[in-house]
Amino acid sequence: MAGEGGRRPEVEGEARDVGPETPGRPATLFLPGALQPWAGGRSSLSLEGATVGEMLDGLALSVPQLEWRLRDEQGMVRRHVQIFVGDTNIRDAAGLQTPVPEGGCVYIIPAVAGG
Amino acid sequence: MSEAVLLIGTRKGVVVGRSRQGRRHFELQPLQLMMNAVYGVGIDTRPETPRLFATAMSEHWGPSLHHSDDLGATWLEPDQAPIRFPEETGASLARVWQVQPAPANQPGVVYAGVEPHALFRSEDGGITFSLVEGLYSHPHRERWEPGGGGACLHTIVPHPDDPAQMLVAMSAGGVYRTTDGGVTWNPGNKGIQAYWLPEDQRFPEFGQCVHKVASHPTRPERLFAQNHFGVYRSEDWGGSWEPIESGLPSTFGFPLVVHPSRPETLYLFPLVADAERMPPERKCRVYRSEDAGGHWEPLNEGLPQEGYHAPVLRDAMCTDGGDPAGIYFGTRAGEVYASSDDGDSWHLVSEHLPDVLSVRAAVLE
Repeated sequence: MAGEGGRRPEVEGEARDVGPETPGRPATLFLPGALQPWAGGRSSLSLEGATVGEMLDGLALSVPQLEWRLRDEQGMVRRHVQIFVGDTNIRDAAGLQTPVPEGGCVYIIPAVAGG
Repeated sequence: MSEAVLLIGTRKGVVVGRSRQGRRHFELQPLQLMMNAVYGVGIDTRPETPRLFATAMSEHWGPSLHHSDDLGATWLEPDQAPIRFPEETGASLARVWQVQPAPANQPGVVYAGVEPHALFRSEDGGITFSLVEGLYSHPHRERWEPGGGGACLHTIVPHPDDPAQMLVAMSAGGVYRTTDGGVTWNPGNKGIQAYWLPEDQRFPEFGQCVHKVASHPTRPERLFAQNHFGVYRSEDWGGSWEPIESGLPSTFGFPLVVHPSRPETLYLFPLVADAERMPPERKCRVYRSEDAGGHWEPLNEGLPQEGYHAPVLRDAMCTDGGDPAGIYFGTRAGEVYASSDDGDSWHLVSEHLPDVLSVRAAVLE
């Protein structure tokens, strides 16, 4: 699943705290191993947001060093980043406007790519 | 001899080498920034502790710029993306091609050249950058084409004495210069041929596919350029260019390096052609001129001379500023060669690396 991009550079911040979780815990964002070092080693984060885009907006505030791995500066999801709400790829739904149900599960999955 | 540091950017990470013994042997650290393509590396020797830079491009997680203040033991990046286009541009950073510390008279200033064509400037030593708006809003922008590697600003040549002057080179926009600190920019391509255009249009004002430009700090008005076919010299800081190709086996290639203490001496690594990006006669040869391009000689002692196919990319050749000069180049076959005698002879620093995209070296005081 991780493909060739499934490793991350050795950078400072391996053990940094990811900041307080969003109260309310309406949905869970699951991270692949490659992204976990940017989240303080955690495999999931609880985030508020009625849509995937709103969840990532919250991520940009609470864990900025992680958010810009997923979206570029114009807010577009990077080409080889796949985001699923449950078993639905948001590219097959409403993109960043895809609704996230309360208590839902959102998965970040790196596409198989590279050489 | 003081310690030397060698940065090797590869398609799958960066390697730092250090030499304490006259640059004959480099101890290489393990590959870092794993699975990031490192198209540009830089060494800022202005701080008391040199700062190393490595551009990093992850196919999954996007581009970034890392720095190290402990000679590569650890690499850092800020929480926010260090280089990002303003929202109003609608542009997204695709790759950082070049990181260039400014001269000593501009402390803390570091420039970055990126794709899509743009120049960024840092005033905090290369931690955060801002777009140089004057170049980005240039009216020629919409007619700049991407080169084979992308729409990249790959070369930054700050003036050694005057902070208001700077030159950049883009594929395929050509050479542009500013004399007012980046507010306005003018093309500097007169005499450089764009061979792919119709015969009566081959010397346009801009749009040439320049591959690398270099100068010597003691003689900044003289420039050398390796183009997509064509090697040129300018005596007026890019006002006009003349070919300096006599004696070269080919006019195609990517890197061009000027000797750090002999402004008449420069180095190339010719390739056959764009359709055959391999060394002529399949011999690994650096070409040196000691008279500013009047004559060229092949340098091959210690280099493979049979069946050699690997090219050297535009930022994969450098000097270390030492005297005599250390000259280094890395190949797409994953080798790094070095010379500690101005190029007269070469020895292998490393092999079996991922393909080498960039090298930089410095002798540390």
